[in-house]
Amino acid sequence: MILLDRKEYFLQLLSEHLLISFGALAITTVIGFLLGVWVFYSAKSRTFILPLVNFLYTIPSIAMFGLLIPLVGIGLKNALIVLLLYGLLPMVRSTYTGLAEVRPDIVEAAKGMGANKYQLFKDIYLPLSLPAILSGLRITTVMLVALTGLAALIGAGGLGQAIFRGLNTMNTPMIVAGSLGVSLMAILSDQWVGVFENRLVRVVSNNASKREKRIVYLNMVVLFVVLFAAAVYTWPSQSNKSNTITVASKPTSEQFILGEIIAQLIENETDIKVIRKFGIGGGTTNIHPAMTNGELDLYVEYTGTGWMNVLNEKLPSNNQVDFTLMQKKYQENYNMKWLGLLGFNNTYALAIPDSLAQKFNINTFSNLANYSNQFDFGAEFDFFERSDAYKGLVKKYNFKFASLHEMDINLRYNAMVEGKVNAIDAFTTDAKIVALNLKVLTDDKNYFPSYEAGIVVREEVLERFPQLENLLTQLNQKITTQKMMQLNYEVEVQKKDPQTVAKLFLQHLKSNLNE
Amino acid sequence: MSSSVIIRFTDVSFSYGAKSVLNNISCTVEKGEFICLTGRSGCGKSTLLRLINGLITQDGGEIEIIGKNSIQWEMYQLRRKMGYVLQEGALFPHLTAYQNMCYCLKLNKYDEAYCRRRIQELLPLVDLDEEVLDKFPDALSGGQRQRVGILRAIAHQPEIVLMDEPFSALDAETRANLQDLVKKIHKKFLTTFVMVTHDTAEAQILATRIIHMDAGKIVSSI
Repeated sequence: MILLDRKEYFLQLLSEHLLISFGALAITTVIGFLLGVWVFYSAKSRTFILPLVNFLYTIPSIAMFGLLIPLVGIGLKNALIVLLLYGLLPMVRSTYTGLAEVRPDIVEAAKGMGANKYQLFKDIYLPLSLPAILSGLRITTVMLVALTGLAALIGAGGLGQAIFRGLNTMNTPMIVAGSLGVSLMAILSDQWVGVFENRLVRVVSNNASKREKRIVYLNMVVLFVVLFAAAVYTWPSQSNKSNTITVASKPTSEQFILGEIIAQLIENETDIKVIRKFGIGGGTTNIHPAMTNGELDLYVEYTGTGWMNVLNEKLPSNNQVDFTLMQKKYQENYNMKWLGLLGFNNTYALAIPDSLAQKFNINTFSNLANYSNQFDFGAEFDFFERSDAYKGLVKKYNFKFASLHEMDINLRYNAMVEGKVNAIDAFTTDAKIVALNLKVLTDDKNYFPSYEAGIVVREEVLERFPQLENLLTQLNQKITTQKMMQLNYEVEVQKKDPQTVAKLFLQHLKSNLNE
Repeated sequence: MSSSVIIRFTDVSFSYGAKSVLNNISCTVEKGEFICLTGRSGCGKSTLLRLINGLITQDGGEIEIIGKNSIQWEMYQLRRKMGYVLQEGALFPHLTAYQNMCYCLKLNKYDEAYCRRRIQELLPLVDLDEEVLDKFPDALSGGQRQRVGILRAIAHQPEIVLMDEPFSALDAETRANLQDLVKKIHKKFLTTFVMVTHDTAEAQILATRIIHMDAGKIVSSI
């Protein structure tokens, strides 16, 4: 059972999830309530606050996480802001509606008997609008707990991390465990807020029975104890910044494995504490800015991506990156260092079922072009978007596919199995190439640049931990394309844990070095 | 000026936007009177009542209440010297009958012990049992609700009690009982009452003076 095997990991995620969602909930409740009150009293504010919170709510959440990265970076702050912005709508609306629906004759009675503005609000408006506000709070709570599942995309942690890890490493039990965790927490939180309906009105109105009071206070205490426990559990990993290093990874199995290898190597050989921010959504687009502002310390990058996407440089005519030049530019522009190359090239390729390859005798991209009108092509979103991927490829080889399918990067192979597509873009280290018996075609016109992997680290981190450079360069040239494909295969097909795979790899490496 | 005048309207006008509701109304109410304002709906009688407790403000003219010009009053202070009874009592649904009864007392900063005593003292007067005290308004009958509403309006010994169609939603028998009750209270405390009603028979029973209105003007005052 995955939950028991990895108890500590899930407890950590659970604690983070609780802290993020309830932290956001507390802020959202206060701000949403205050805005709701403002909107109720000021007709003028109504004309812009309500449309604004509506608008914020309509921005797709994934986009919102991304949009905030240039402003506040990745991590907790970003997550809290996104959750706040989303939670505002139900909170503001329910507060405003609750207040506006208090019966006018009741308000008139209280006013007519001499309640001043404050007394009117405290004794009449507030208790009478509480049921509506609490039902808004219930919606907000469920929404925020669920939405916190996406916080892992920007490295803020939480149960979503298990889901994304599962998705990216094709580990179904992991996806199920993460999803069930989120659902269960949402249901429990909903029940928890439900306890206050009816009862809180009475406590506020000073006519609750002793039992009702006890239930309300007890529930508050339970929440605080749970949150406190979560905080105590989460905190050690966040504290003592001076002796920690934050290792990031993109959301792929390969990157999880490499991230683990680096993290474990550092943990085994030094007393530096490693914070793992693995599976950051959007990959380089989000990791590089976070490296620049110091939130992340190191990660594995690919030469082609570094040259074209980070440095924004054009490739020379032979399509090969000048590694020395790139190293220099990284140092000059970003104070980051490439520690060398790990030894494998994970470049783009096209793959088709081996059976079709034999039938039509297709070995190269050019061969495929001759039959391309018989192939349905599927690839991830950025493959179609990036100028160096699909658009240029079609120009170079004159592909005319029967149909095109855009999908999540993890679903390409599923689409292949299901027969929706019969040609996909693949990476040369993909485990599924072996598993699904695919033929990787040769890029005979050298269209794709090389994507050789290497560790990128901030120079400031190397100054702080001088032992790091020698330690990590031990990995250089130790992972061949074949080796990487095998490690990926162990995780994706044999369902081994990236941690275990990394551990075994390091054990082998160490014994080989010692020989 | 006679010292027994408690409300004096001088040339008071009021309009909702372009629609004129009251035209140059002048009248006085003496301490201890029971005034019934009658007239068809839309004649301005409820508007007149709301001008007395300042829920609305006149466009022109002057209003003098309890010895001061209305503009000199801090409105909520003035209202605390009055009782206010609306249709069906307009009880606060989230408060128990007892808490409703104490509402004006608490606004006037009486302590809990005094409230307890005062309510106990008044319960027999409005013909309610102690067992209603812990009930919420939705568990009371229409008549009981209005009795709670009346008790709430007189508990703090107000100088004026304002009532806006207090019995219109009740059945004939309950209405008759409550009319007796209000009459009894007026006799006992000699508080000034101003009550809006469309029911002339009710006005005949209760009022010491009936002010009849039509189209924003006082037609008769007998």
